[in-house]
Amino acid sequence: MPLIMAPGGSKAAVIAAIDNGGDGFYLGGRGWSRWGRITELSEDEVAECIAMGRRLGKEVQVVFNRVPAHGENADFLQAVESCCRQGASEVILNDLGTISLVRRHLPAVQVGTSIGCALKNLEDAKFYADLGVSTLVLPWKMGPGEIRALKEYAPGLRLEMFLYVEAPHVVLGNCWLGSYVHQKQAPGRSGTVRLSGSARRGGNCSQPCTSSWEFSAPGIPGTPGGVLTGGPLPHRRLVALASLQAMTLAGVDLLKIQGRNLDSEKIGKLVRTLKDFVTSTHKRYGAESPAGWDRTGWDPVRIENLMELLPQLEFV
Amino acid sequence: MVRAELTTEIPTLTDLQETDVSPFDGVYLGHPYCRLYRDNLIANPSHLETAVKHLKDRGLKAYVSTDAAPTTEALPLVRDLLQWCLDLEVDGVEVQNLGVLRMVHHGFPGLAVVAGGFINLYTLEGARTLSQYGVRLIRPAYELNLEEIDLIRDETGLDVELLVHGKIPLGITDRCLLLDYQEESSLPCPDICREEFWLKRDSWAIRHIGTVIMSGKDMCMLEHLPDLVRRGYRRFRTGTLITPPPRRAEIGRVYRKALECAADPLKFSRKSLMKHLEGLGSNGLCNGYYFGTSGHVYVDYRGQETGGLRSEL
Repeated sequence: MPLIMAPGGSKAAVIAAIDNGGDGFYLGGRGWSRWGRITELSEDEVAECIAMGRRLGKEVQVVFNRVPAHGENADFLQAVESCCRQGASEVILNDLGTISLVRRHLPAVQVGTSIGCALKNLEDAKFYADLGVSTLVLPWKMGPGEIRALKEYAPGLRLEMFLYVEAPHVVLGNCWLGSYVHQKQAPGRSGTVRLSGSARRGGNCSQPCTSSWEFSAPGIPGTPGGVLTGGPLPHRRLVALASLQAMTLAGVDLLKIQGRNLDSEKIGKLVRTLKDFVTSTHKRYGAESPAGWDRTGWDPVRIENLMELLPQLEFV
Repeated sequence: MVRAELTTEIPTLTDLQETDVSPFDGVYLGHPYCRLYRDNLIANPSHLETAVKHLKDRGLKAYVSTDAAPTTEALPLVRDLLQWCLDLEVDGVEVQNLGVLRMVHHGFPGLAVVAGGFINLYTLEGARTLSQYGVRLIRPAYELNLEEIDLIRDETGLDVELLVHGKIPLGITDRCLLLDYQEESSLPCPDICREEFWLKRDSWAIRHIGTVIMSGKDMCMLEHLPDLVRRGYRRFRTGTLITPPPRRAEIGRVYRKALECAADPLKFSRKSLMKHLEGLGSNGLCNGYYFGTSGHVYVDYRGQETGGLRSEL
């Protein structure tokens, strides 16, 4: 059965994830991840969580989704090496160069890709496999055929899919809308520059995509001022239950639940509910069974619970 | 006079034939953000052949843009395109996707590769990795400032192409937003994207074209050209994929004129060149990220932030 990887946006969230059946968790250390004090843990907290994970036999991924600035590579490599020495199973990276850097200087470190690597196709995935990553996180649009092909290409490569993900209109890893609207330079570590506003470069995205926009086409007749509609750009909340069995049979190894920004209570409930779904699927059909599994087999109470936790969910 | 390469972007054969390409040294052919774009050169081998010949007859370089975000299902089409490019002996293919880069590296090593903005080149180490895949010309990630780009160029020896004018691509989407408005606008795909679609909020405006979001303002580095030349840059691109042919050519003429005198501060007539651009009409100007500011900001030749013509803000 694939492992369920829960978000660890705080020490309390990590505990909630473990208590509710998470097989592992991912977290980010302060200064190297995202959303500052909202989701990043201090060095001591990271060490405590890694130790807790090791003690309980859980998988621990440490996310470094900030691209180190020039002059910062030594600090970055030291931080990566420190996490792995403490017992982290893997580091998650979101940049071609950063992955190459770690593979070259710390070849023993297991590297996973972040959704920020913006994989779009099988050849993209093979590119990262060739770089020597140990785990690939797949975009939610990839299907079982691609998973089988990847497993054939690189049998030892672990494949991770999103069990729950928020999919903004613009593909993560290929969006500069935030820094177009707002970016400022500030002093960073080792005399380097940190760029607030750029999610990849030490700042937080100002998320202009979630604001209300007016969509207009001035040249189209019959609409006042050419305005067609208004509102935020499409933003989907997806739970991959419909595709779960096919993806599992194809060879998915890890199921990621997005949401380091969620509070620990919500994370606990989310992990428990999704774990129950996955376990019941596995029990019902077994990993080898080719039998279909559709929504008619879903427990309505569990669906209701999910919808309560995360309104406007789509099942894919 | 500085010898520099000035390039532009043209999506279709008709657009190419209607554009005076004489100010340019090379053209990026094709619309990389949607294969369904009507008469897209990257989906039409006979048009592409004619377009490449059109350029070569005029002594211009022919580059071809490849799909910026192909799905696995689209990869055979990309492979076909790469084969056409090889057969037509184009001067290079622009690659914006690591998977496509891998395909070129393994299957079409004879093709020269230009690494485009969506390939996400942020670091020196990333540039070194790309060079191992045969990349020799790069367009670094749009978010990098000039000092960072200088460093990558100087440390790796890779040639750099800078976007100096036009719309900045700000993001790729999974699905074209325009598809939802076919009925409302009575324009089916692919006719719908011949219309101008804008996303507006307060005084902000961005363009949505197929699967790409672009800045509403035009990136403009015209008055900084002397500085770029002094820094050693010699390849400049105008982002004019969706610009009407007469305006595309006029932008080219202004930049060509500017490049002719960019090495001599006494001859560089900043005011008159900028005035010429203003006459072309614009939704405002910005410099992107070259000066470490937000992408929409315009920094003038004195280093002062201004609105840049008619500001969005």
